[in-house]
Amino acid sequence: MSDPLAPYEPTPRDPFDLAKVGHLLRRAGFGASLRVRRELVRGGLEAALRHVQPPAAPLPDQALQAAAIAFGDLERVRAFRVWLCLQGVHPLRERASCFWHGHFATSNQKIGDPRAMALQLATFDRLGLGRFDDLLLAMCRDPALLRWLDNDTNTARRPNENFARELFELFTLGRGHYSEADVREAARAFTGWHVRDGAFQFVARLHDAGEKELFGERGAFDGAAIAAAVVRRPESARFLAGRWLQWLVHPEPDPADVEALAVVYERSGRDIGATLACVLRSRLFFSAAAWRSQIKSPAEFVLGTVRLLGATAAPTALAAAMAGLGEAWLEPPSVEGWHGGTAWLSPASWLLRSNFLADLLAGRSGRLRPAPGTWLRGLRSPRDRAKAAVLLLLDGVAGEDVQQGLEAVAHEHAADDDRCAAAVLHAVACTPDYQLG
Amino acid sequence: MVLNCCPLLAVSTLLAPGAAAQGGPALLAAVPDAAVVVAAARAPASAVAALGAWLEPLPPGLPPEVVGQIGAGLAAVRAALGGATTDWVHQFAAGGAVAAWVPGPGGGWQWLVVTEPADATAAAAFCRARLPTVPCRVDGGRLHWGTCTAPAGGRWAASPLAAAAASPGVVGAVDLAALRQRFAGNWSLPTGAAQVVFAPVVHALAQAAWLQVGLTAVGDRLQVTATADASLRSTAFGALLADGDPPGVAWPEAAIAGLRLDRSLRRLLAEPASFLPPEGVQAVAAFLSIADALDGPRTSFVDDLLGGLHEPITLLALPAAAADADEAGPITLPAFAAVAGVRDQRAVDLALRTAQLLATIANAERAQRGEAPFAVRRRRDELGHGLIAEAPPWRGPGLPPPDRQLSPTVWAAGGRLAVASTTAAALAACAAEAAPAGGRGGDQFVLRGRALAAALAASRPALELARMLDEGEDRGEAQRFFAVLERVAAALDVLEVRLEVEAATTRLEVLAERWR
Repeated sequence: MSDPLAPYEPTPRDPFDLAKVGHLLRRAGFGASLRVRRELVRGGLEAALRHVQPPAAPLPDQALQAAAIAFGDLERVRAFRVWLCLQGVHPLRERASCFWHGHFATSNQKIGDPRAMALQLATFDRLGLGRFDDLLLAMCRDPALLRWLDNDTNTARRPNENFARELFELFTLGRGHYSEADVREAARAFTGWHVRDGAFQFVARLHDAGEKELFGERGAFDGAAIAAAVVRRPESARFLAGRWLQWLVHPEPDPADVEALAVVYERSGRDIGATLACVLRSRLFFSAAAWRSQIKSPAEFVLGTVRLLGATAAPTALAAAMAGLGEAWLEPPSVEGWHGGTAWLSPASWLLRSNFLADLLAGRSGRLRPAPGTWLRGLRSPRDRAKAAVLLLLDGVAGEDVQQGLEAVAHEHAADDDRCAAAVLHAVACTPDYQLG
Repeated sequence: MVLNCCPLLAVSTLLAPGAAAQGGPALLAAVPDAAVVVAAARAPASAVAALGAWLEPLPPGLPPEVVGQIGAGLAAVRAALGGATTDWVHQFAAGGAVAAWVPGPGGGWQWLVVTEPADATAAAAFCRARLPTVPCRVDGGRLHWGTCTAPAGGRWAASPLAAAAASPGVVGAVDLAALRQRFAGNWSLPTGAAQVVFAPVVHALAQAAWLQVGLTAVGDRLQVTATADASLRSTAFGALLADGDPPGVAWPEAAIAGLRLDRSLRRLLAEPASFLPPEGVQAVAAFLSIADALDGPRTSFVDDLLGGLHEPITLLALPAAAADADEAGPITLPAFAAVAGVRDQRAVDLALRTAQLLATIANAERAQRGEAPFAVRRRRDELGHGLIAEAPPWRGPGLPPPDRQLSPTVWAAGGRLAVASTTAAALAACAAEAAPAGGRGGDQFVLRGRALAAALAASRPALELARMLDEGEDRGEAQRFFAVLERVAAALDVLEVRLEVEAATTRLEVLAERWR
C-alpha cells in the first residue's frame, strides 16, 4: 500500500499547472492574482510552497497591530484581520490563524473585550505554525479563552469544569478519549488560572495544589502539566491530524490518511508548520479527490474573490459582508466554532453571495479597485472575455456549458466595458464551481 | 468635458482679476428670469486678488506629490485660458460679471455668463475657440456666453440680489422656491438628533423664498454668509431657542473645538411631543424612565438637574494632557467637556449623586469583565469640588488601552458645572472666561486648526489604519491623506460657524482665518 503522504512529483501527464497552483493557494491561503499564479506555475512546486510558507516572512507589522488593538473595537479588529489576509505576506500563517480561531473558538459576544480577542489572534499568528505544545500552553493562559470558558471563576473551593472539558473534547482529544474523572481532575489543575487587567494571572490561593490522577498517572499537576500530558496522547495526534486533513484535503478524510499524518506530526516533534508542509507537498493534497472537494467559507469566497482579481477593497466592508454571509470573525456561533461544509450554503446564502458580488463589482460597496473593466481590457469578443474571466476566477477550468453561458452574458453587455466585465465576473462567481474551494 | 469645465469657467470669470467697475448690478438685467442660482461680482479683480492673498502661500509641509498636483492643475488652467490670466480677465470681465444657472430639460442644467469685457471681440473669439458649440454673442459691449438662451425679463434686476450686487466680493442668490420645485421629492429630512440640530436650516430651506450668499476675503479672513428670508422663531419649534439666559463660556484658547447649540434641552425633554415625532417622543420617554430613576423617585432629571442649569450647554474638545513618552500608544484621546452655568445649587448635588451611581454601575461592569475598577473619590479644594474617577494603573499586556487616558469628572466651580472625560478638561471648562456680555447668540461652532493638527498628529498611526480599513487605501495613500489634512488644518487659525435665527431671517456665517 503506497504512502498517501508521499511527495507529489510533477510529470508531463500530471504537470504542476495553473489549476494546481490555484488549489494550493486556495487551501493554504486566500488565492492570488493571475499574475502571481502564472509566476508560480513557471517557478514550479517548490517556489509555490515557499510562496505560501515563506521562511523569512515577518510577523504582522507591530505598529499597525498595536493600533488595531488600541481601538478596542470589534469591527476594527475584525477588519484588521481581513486586511492581514488581503496582504498575503504569509498565506499559510494567515489561513492557519483562521483555522485556530475556529479550533479554539472564542467569541467576543461573551467576553466583550476586542483587545483580548485581538491578542488571541496575534498568538495564533505567532505560534500557529510552531510546536503544538507551545500553542496549547499559550491558549491555556489566553485571557480571552479563559474567560470564554469560565476558567476565571474556577477555584479550589468551587471548581468549574468547562475549560477542562473543552480542552479535551474540542482542542486536543475529541469525544470518547477521556473520562469524566479526567475532566474533574484537570479542572482542579486549572483552578486559579485567572485573568486580571487583560492578562493571565495565576492566583495561588485559589489553586488546588493537591494530588490529582489523570490518564492513570498521579501528581500535583497544574494546568501546564495537564497541557503537556494531553499533547503527548496518541489520540491527540490523530484528532489534530483529522482536523488538518479536513481543512487542507477533504471534508471527510480517510482514516488511513489520518493515521499517516499523525505519525508525521509526532515525528516532527509536534511541529504544526512541518506537518502542514508535508500535507501541502503530498500526492494526497494534489489528488483528484481533494480538488474542489470543499464548499468555500464566506471568508474564502469574499477575500478569495478580491485576491483572485488582484484588487484592493475596504476591509471593513469585506468583514461586514463575511459576517452577513455567516462568518463573523471573533464571534463564532459556539465553542465548536463554525461547522462549515454544507452548512455554508443554502438558497438564501447563495443569493446573499450573489448580491454581495454584484454590489462589489458594480462599485456599490467595498470600494473595489481597480474597476472591473481593467481585468478584461483589450478583449473585444464575448468568447475572449468569457475565457479571461474563467482564467481569473476558476484557473481556466470550467465546463463548456459554463463557457457558453458566460459568452451569452458578455454578448448581452458588450456595449460597456466595465458593466460587461462586472457581469461576466459576477456570472463566473455565481457558478457552482466557484463555490467550491 | 465641455459640460464639466463650464461651471468652472463661469466661477473663474466672477473671480478673475481686472479693473474695478460697476457692471455687476446692471448686468443682472441680462439674467434669464428662469435662472435659479445667480452669482455676481462688481469688481472681480479685487475679489480674486483678495481670495488669492488668503489662499497663498500654500500650507507649508504638504507632500511634494500634492504640491506637484496643484502646480499641474494651475498650469492646466493657464493653458485652458490661452495665456496669462490677467490678459484673459481683462478681456472677459473688466467691468463686472454675472453667472446664472437655469434648470434645463431632462433634469440637466444650463448656464449663462454675462460680462462687460475690455475687449469684447477678443473675448468672444476665445469663447468660440474653446467651446465652439456653446452660443456666444456680443451685444452692446456685453458678452453673453452660455448654453442658456432663455429670455431675460428683468426679474433678477428686481430681486434681492440687486441691492447686494454693489457689495465687494462675490454675492449670489438662490431662488429657493424654484429650487424646491426642481428637486421636489428628491430630498429627505434629517431624523433623530439631527432633526433638532438642523431644524433652523431645514426650516429655512423649506420655507424661504430667497437665499442670499456673500463671499469676501479681507487679509487673513475669509467670510461666507448665507441669509434666508424665513425663520422658525415664530413656529412652535421657536420655543426651543434661547430665552435670554446669561451668556455661556468663551472658547478657551487651547480648545480644539467648541460647540454651543441654541436649544433648550430641558424644554425638549419636558415637552417632547411639541418638537418631536412619535418615535422621538418614545425615545425620550425611554431615556427619562432610566434617568429619572438614577437619583430615586423624588428628583427629576429634567426639572431638577437640567432645570438647575443655565442653557445652552457648551461642549468643548480639548487637547489631551501630554502623555508619558513610554506610555504613548497609537491613540491619544482628546478630552471632552460639557459645561453650563449653575442656576440652582441643588443641581450640582444631584449631578454628583448621579455620577456616583453611574460610576458604581460602570465599575460593576468592569469587574464582570475582569478589569480593575476606576477609583472614585470626592475632591474639594480652593478651585471647587466634584467627583473624580481615576483609571487604575495598567498591569496588563502591551500599552495601556485608551480608556486609561480617561478620568471622568463632574466638577463644580465658579458658578459652573462641568462633566468631562478628564479632570483637566473639567477644570479648564469651569475656569474658562465668560463669553462677552451682550455677545451674539445663536448656534456656534469653533475649530482651531493648529490644535486640530496637533490632535491628528498624536493619533496618526491609528487614524491611518482606520482609513486603510475603511477606505481600502494602502499605507502610503493613508499617510498622504493625513499629511495633507494635518498641514491644511495647521494653516488655519480658526474656523467659526455661526447660525443666527432672527425674527424673520436665518443667517449662516462661516469665517475662516489663516495662520501663517
